Amino acid sequence: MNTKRSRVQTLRAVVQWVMFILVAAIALVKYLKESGVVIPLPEISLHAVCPFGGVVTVYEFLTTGGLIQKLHSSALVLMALGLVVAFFFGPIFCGYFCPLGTWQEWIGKLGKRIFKRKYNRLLPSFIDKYLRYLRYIVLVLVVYQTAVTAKLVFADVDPYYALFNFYTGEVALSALLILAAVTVLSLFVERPWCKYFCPYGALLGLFNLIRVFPVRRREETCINCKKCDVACPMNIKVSTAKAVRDHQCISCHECLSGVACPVEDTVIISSAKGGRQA
Amino acid sequence: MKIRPQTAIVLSILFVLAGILGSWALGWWQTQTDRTPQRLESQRLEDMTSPSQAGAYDPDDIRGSYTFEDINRFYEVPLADLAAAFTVDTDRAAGFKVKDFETIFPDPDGEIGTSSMKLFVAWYKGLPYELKEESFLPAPAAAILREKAEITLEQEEYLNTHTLETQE
Ligand code: SF4
Ligand code: SF4
Repeated sequence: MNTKRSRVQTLRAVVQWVMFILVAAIALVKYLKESGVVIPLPEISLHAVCPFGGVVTVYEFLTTGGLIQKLHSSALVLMALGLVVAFFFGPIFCGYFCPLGTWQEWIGKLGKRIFKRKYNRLLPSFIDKYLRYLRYIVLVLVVYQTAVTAKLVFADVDPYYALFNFYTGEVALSALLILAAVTVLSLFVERPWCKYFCPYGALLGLFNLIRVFPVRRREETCINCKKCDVACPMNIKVSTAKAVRDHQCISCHECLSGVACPVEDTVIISSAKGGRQA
Repeated sequence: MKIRPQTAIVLSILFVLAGILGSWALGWWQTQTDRTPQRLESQRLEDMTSPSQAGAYDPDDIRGSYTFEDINRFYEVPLADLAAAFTVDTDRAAGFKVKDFETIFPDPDGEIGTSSMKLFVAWYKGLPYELKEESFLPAPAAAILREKAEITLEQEEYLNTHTLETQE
């Protein structure tokens, strides 16, 4: 079990590190070039490599054929590619690629040390349950506001942009405060931004309802140890499901056999039709 | 069909890379910062005050990263007027960035900033511009507006209360 477990988790950690460093480097190069430092690298805006930028500009693109201010066609391309990937494998972007998700996980490691098994289980479930729909409201509001104003309104509250540009002096105070709040909250709750607020996570999460390859649990071999439940950062009850169709799954693969599940071939990714769904 | 997580990840990465490469080949992959401001014609029609302004660049889209040369190029305000208005040496005016106002107007409240340049350009060129925050102008800028631009009575009143004396 250990070799397999380490492979999936190692791969995830490597992808997360690479993405984090890549995005940080893109932001730094842009900042240095704008400050007059000569670097033989292209100046790329962070908005150009954020697929959520594609989501907010879709209305502008469909109605005028143009993009909203500060956005680039690459954001639309990334959005389309991300949606196709989500259709097959779910929100892999969240589980592996998003540097803000990674940031929250890193802070969460500290939270786990402090709160041990209580970590990520501190919020009463009746509040938590409803709060998880908040991100859809954020999604609708952001898309609507962007469509009406034709401006990148989300930038003023975007913790992702703030995380990589906090030193440039170009980040709105509101975004910095939200980043600080998300960071502190991550000490208590795993991925609070992803769970409650992220509009892109909300959109990708919907693909869990239809994804071709969901996480599935084989009842015949499951020993009901609930290790999959404990491992899930999004508190999904994998142990009672045949197929995970929860809108909050981030495709992190932490629950799978060989990772959390101790029984081989029991929690898997498969397109075969299952019964009960989580 | 069962699929290993590693396979799902590798397939996803390959798909995204292929997509980026394909879109790049088709000319859809554009990541460079486009320094061109938006044109007024793509704005809502009610913002337009006269048909002659259609096609002009939107002064509201002036960014802190713009140099005086950029502003001269896009908005056709003479470099000499920009330099005089904001008390920047003529020989370094072309490369001077709007966001560097704080180095010459070290006001703790940051009253002269990017929005001051937006205001100056808009009124200098008679372009529609909605004041969203209180913007101040250095005295020479106000003088240039009074001398060279067709400002309204309302704008004149605004200048009377929003002009800051600068130390030369
Ligand atoms: S939910 Fe949002 S912040 Fe979280 S990993 Fe996904 S895109 Fe990133
Ligand atoms: S159900 Fe599994 S893959 Fe989905 S978020 Fe939970 S641990 Fe990750």
